[in-house]
Amino acid sequence: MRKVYPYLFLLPSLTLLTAVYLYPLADLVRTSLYDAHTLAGLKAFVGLANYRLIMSAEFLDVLWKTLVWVGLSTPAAMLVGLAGALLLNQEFRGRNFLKVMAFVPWTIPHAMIAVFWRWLIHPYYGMANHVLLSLGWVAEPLNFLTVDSAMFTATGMRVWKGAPFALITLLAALQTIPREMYEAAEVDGAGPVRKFVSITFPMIRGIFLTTALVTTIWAVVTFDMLWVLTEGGPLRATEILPIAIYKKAFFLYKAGEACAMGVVGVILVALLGVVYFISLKGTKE
Amino acid sequence: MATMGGRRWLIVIGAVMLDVALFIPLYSGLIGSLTPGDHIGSPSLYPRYLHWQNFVEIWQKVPLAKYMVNSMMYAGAACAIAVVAALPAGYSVSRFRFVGRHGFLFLILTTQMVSVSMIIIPMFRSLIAMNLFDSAFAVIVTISAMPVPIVVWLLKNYFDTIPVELEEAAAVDGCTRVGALFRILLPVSIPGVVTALIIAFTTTYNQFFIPMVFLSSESKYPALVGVYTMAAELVPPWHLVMAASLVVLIPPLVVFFVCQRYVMGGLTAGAVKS
Repeated sequence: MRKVYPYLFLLPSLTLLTAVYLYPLADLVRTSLYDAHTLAGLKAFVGLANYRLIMSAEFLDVLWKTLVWVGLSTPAAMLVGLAGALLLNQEFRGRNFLKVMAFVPWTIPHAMIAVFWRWLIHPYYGMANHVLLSLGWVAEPLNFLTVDSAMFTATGMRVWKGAPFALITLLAALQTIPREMYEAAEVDGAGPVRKFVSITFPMIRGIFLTTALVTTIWAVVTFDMLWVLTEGGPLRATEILPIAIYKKAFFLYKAGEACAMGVVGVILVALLGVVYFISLKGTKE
Repeated sequence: MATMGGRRWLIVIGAVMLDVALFIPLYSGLIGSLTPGDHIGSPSLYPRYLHWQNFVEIWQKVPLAKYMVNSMMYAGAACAIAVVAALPAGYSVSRFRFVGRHGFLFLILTTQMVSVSMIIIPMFRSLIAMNLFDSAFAVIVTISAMPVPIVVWLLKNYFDTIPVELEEAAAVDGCTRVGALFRILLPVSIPGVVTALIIAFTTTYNQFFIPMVFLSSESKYPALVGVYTMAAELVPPWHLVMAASLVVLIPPLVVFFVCQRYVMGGLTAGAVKS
């Protein structure tokens, strides 16, 4: 009996995780092999046909959009977060207050963030255009959500959300660096840049890497924020993988193809996850 | 020393500017929420109006009260389910060494990476198969799984800090394993359990995608989906959308400010440890 206890205790959480994550994950792979309708269900086994169907220019474009979205937002969020962490790692009064305030964007639900951004960048009512017009930097109100600009605007919003997370984790890492290391370097005549390159960055490299990976994974699977901001538009300009999957399944009802795209996404995230685990191991040693 | 003082000021100014930049979207939302509907077309950098009436109208013109009650209900029930399910698991991996323990912990980490946006179709298929479309129950159960991985980790780490001798002493006195969990370990673990509840509440309150896909009746919408529906209109009443958005932010913000030490501590625990 005593040997069964540990397993019995796992049952509630295992049941929940199986029902909500693991079974759907298996069903994702299965459905991807069928000609399936989102509402009517599975029709016929088609093998890998769905994968052939999705390998079109359209899907490559979706992957490209996803890459641009991740490639722009993650490094920018990491850089802003690092800059903020370096600033807040200095001693001054009110530092803790600024640190807590800087973290506020992280606590706001994704869907709400996008609502606030839509208002901020509204062509006629928004504060952003009001400032640009008042300063005389633009003659006409700017549309921040055109085919060309929407991705950059969306990226800005993502950075606004992601930078505070990077800031907090990097700041925690910075605060573990012993002050004596800097004092020793100063004795040797090291300047601020030299200190950053030789001490600061090597000391926080592990946390920097894991934070960047988590931020990357979160960016790849973003739905809420982008859906509320643009619904993937205009003209698919911000249609990254999760948005494309949703549209394929719930607008076109092509569940089989949508699941094939989902499998591609899961593999993508799994690859990033493997790198994440390796880096976690690396920082522990 | 004079140059040091100058550098110090640059740092403070930089940090303040970063914070100000981070608050711009919320500030512009606040101004919008205080502007009368017929003046919404003339934006301003500072609040020219203090039209608090908007915060009254949102309860009358929009079923915001209904949305908020739904949100609190879904998040409240789901966070309770999550913690009740995760608690024994956290206890088990903290106190026992058994075959499959590492496997379970790995599974927990893995599920944290499976995103809803990738498996939304199979989730929806199960929903249809069980005839649970448009059911609040299905939303609650599904979102209750979202915080389970992090809550298991959190509770495991918390239990790890409590000396096992407490329970061993109880066992000597004839207390069973389950008895020891409830009578000895839980009472001293209240802070850990509260942190778990807080994190689970914020996670479930913030869910948008699942209720949006699972529900069709507006009367069942949680606040996030309700406000999104308002903002998705062709010509949204922006002054009311902003007022409603700010009200919707209140629960997570209150939780954050009351518990910011716990929340930020939980996030950075991994960073400091390694």
